[in-house]
Amino acid sequence: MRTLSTAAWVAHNLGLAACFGGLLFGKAALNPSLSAIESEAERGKILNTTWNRYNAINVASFATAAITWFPGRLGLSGKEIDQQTRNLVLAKDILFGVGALTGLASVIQGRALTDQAPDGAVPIESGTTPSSETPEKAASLLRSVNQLGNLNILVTGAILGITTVLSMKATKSARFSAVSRFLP
Amino acid sequence: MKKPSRIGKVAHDIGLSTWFGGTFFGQVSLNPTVSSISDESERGRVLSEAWARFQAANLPAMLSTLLGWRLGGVREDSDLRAPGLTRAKDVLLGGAAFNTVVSAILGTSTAAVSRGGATPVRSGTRPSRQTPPEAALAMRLLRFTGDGSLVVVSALIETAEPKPRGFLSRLLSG
Repeated sequence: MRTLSTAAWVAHNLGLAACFGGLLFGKAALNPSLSAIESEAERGKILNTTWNRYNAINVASFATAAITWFPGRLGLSGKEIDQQTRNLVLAKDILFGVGALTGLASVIQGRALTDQAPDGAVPIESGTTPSSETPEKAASLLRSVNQLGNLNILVTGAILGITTVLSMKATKSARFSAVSRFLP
Repeated sequence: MKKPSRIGKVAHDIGLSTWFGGTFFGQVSLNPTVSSISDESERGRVLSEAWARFQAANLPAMLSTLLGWRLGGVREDSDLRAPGLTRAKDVLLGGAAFNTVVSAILGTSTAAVSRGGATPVRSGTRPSRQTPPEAALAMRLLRFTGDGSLVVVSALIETAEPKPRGFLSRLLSG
């Protein structure tokens, strides 16, 4: 059981890291660099292809992090942890819910943006800014995908921070330490 | 014994996540996709700009991982719980940092061959017939160090939360 818990912990951390770092690369590095391409339609094609490719990994990573969190967490009655830890556990539950919703909405909006032109070749200024050639609907989809992406980075970063604080608490409290062996 | 500071541990974990996830996105998603750009020189420009922007965030992330580990008390705490894993993590951290710095240097030297980083390439990891020989050599080495970084940083995450009775801990503690 302990070996299983260690494996779940590793999968949990890898899943969160893939989500957080991947989103950060896409937002901070890929999106602004697309303006180096002369053709605005080709910028859109690369934007959509790259993000759709990563979204498959991102969804699997987030799902892995959630799947490894909830089964162990449901075993907590609440008596073995103090009020602050209980609040952190609840905050992590809520953040997972918000992250799942915003992540899913982002994938759906991203797919809709891709469908606005063959091969996703929607003309854009950069990964965050529509150009004068961008159709109105595509421009609105691009803006919403970016807003959802920003929210996703914040949520995943917050989950990472809470996970770290919970792991530190696990080493301080003997009762929570025992229970945390079954938590990722 | 120095207790791990909360800020040090969070900086360590966030830094490690940025390091792993960002490298993962670049390797599996951006590098192969640039081959869809029709102009080979533009492929090089997009690659050099994107990776340079990422390194501006990744190098501080790497530094916060290393500082959190050495100065934030995270290492001492891990050493008490799982000394074997802690030593393994020391080696992995050194290897990952070395690989990342070498990758950044190779990427910069590939971009420096042409003006504005517009070195013609086939994809993010493969040179084309138009790629100058020195840049082609740097790209071949980059493929090796880039994959190496990804493997080593993912192994680092596996040693991030050493549990005394965990499988890896028992294996490495003998």
